Amino acid sequence: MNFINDIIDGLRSGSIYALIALAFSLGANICGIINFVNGEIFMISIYIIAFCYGLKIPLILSVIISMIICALFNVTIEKYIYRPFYKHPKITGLIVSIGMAFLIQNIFVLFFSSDPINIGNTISGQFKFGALEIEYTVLISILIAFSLMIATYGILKYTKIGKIIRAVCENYESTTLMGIDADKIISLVFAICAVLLVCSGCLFYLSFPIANPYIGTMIGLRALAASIIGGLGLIQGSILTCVSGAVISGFLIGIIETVVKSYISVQLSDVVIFAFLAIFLLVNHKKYK
Amino acid sequence: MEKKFFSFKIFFFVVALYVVLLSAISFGLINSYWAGILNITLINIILVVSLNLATGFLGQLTLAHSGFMAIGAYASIAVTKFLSMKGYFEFPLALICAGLLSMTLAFFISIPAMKIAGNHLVIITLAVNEIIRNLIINLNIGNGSSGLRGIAHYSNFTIVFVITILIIAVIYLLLNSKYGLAIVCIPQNEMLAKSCSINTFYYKLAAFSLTAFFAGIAGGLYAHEITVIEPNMFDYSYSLELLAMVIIGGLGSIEGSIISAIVLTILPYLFSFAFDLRIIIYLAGMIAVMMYMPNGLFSQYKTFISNLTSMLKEKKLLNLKR
Repeated sequence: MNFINDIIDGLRSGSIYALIALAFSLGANICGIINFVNGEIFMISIYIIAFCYGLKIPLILSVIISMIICALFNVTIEKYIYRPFYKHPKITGLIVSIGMAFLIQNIFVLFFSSDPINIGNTISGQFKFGALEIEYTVLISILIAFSLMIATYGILKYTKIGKIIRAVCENYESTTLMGIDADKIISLVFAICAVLLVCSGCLFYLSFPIANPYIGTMIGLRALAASIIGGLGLIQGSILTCVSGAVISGFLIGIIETVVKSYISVQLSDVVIFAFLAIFLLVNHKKYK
Repeated sequence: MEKKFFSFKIFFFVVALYVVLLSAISFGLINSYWAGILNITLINIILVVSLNLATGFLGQLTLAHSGFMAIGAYASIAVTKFLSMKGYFEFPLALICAGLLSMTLAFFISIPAMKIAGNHLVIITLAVNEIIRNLIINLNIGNGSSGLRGIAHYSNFTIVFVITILIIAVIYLLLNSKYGLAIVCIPQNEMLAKSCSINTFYYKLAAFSLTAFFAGIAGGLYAHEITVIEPNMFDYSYSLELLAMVIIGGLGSIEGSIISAIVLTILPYLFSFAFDLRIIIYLAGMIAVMMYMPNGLFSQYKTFISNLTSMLKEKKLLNLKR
C-alpha cells in the first residue's frame, strides 16, 4: 500500500512538472529558445496567489489576476529580450534565458528575502477507496494537468490558430510570406505558456505548504528534464509529439522523484533525475539535434 | 604572418607587475584584506580564462565549471590533510592531484557529452554540476553540507601569481599552435573542420579536459586561500557568475577575460552595497552585452583606442609623426 501511495503522491507533483514541461516544449518549439524564465514565472504566480490570499480574494479571481500579470510579463520578456536573438545561433538565446531566470530569482531574493513564505492550503480532505486514502488535491491536480494537455493538443491539432502555430514552428520565414504576423503568434504562444505556468503554480499552491524564491529554478530544471525526455529537440519531433510527451514524462519524473525520496534519500532525488536525463540523452543522442 | 611565442615586452611587464605587487604587500601598502582579494582575483582570472577556452574558443557552453572546481578543492584538501609534509612540498602535489582528478572526471563525462551538441550540452553540464554538489553533500565527503574548516593557508601571493601566469601562457601558446587553430575552427564550422580531416571529437575532449584541469587547480588554490569551504559555495550560480565574466569580457578573447575578471571581481569589494547586488549586476551586464555588444565589452579596446587616436588625428589634436 505504501508503494501505491507513493505513486499517487508522485502523480501530484508530476502534474506540476507536466504543466511546466508543456510550457517549455511550446516555447522552445515556437522560437527555438529554451525559456528558463518559465520556472521563475511559476514562482511569481505562487507569490501573487499567496499575496491575493492574504487580501482575502477568492482563489479563482486570484488565479485570473495572476494569469494576466504573468502573461504580460512573459510577453514583455519575449518581445524586448528574446526577439533580437532569433537570428543568432540558438546557444546565445539559451544563455540569455538562463541569465534572465537567475536575474529574476535574485531580484526576488533581494525584495522578498530568501525565507520561505507560508501559504495556507484552502482545499483539504480525502476520500477512502478501500485501503487507499486519496486526497482531493491529487485528483484535482491530475484532472487539471490532463485536461490542459488535451486542450492544448486539441487547439494545436484541430483549430485554425493551432494550424498557424504549427506553421510558425515549422518555418518562420515562409509563414511571414503567407501574410501571417509570426511575431504576434510567438507572443500569443508565450502568453499561453504563462497561463499553463499559472495553472501549475495554482496546483503547487493547493498541494504544498511553503514556497521560496528558489523553487522556480529547482522545479523548472526538473520540468525541463521532463520536457527533454518527452521529446524536446528531437530531429523528427513536431510540436504535437512534444506536447503529449512532455506531460507523460512529467508524470514519470514526479513518480521517480517520490519513489527515490521515500526509498533511498530525500536529497538524492535530484541526482537520480538528472542522471536519468543524462543517461537518456546519451543513449538517444543520435535522435536529438 | 609569424606569431611571436615569446615577447620580452610582456615578460618584463609581468615581472615588473609581480615585483611591484609583492613589494606593496610586503611593505604593507596593500593590507591583508586586499591581499586576499588580490589572490581571489587571480584565481578568478584562471577560472575565467579556462572557461573561455571551452566556451569562447571551443564553442561548447559548459555550466559545470564550479563543479570541477569543487572536485579540485576537495581533492587538494584531502592530499594536504593526509600528507603531513612541509607546505612548499605538498601543496604543488595537491594542486596537481586536484587538477588530474577533475580532468579525469571531465574526460569521462565528456566522452558521451560531447556527442550532444548545443542546447542539450548546457543542460547536461548544469545537471553534472548539481550531481557533483549533491553527491558531496549526501555521501558525507568532508562533513557533508556543513563543510570543512581550518584548512592550511598555503595560497600566498607568489604561488597564485606564478600559477596564473603559467596557465595563461599555456592557453595562449596552445591557441597559437596548430592544435589551437583546430580548436578555434570547430565552432565556426564543424562539418568543414571534419572534412579537413580534423578529428573534432578528439579536440573537443582534449580542450574540455584541459579546461577542467585548470578549474581543478583553481579550486585547490581557492580552498587554500579562503580556508573554509562548503559544497553550497560551488553551486551553478557560481558557474553562471563565471560565464557572465567570460561574456562581458568577450567570447574568444583572452585579454578581455583577464580584464573583465579583474574589474568584476574587485568592483563588488569597492562598493559595499554592491556585494549583495553583484549577481544581479553581472547578469544584467551579461544580457546587455549580448544584446548590444556581442563581441564583449573589453575585447574591443584595441579597436576602440585606434578609433580614438584616428579621430584625434583627423581633428589635429594629436601631433604624431607620420
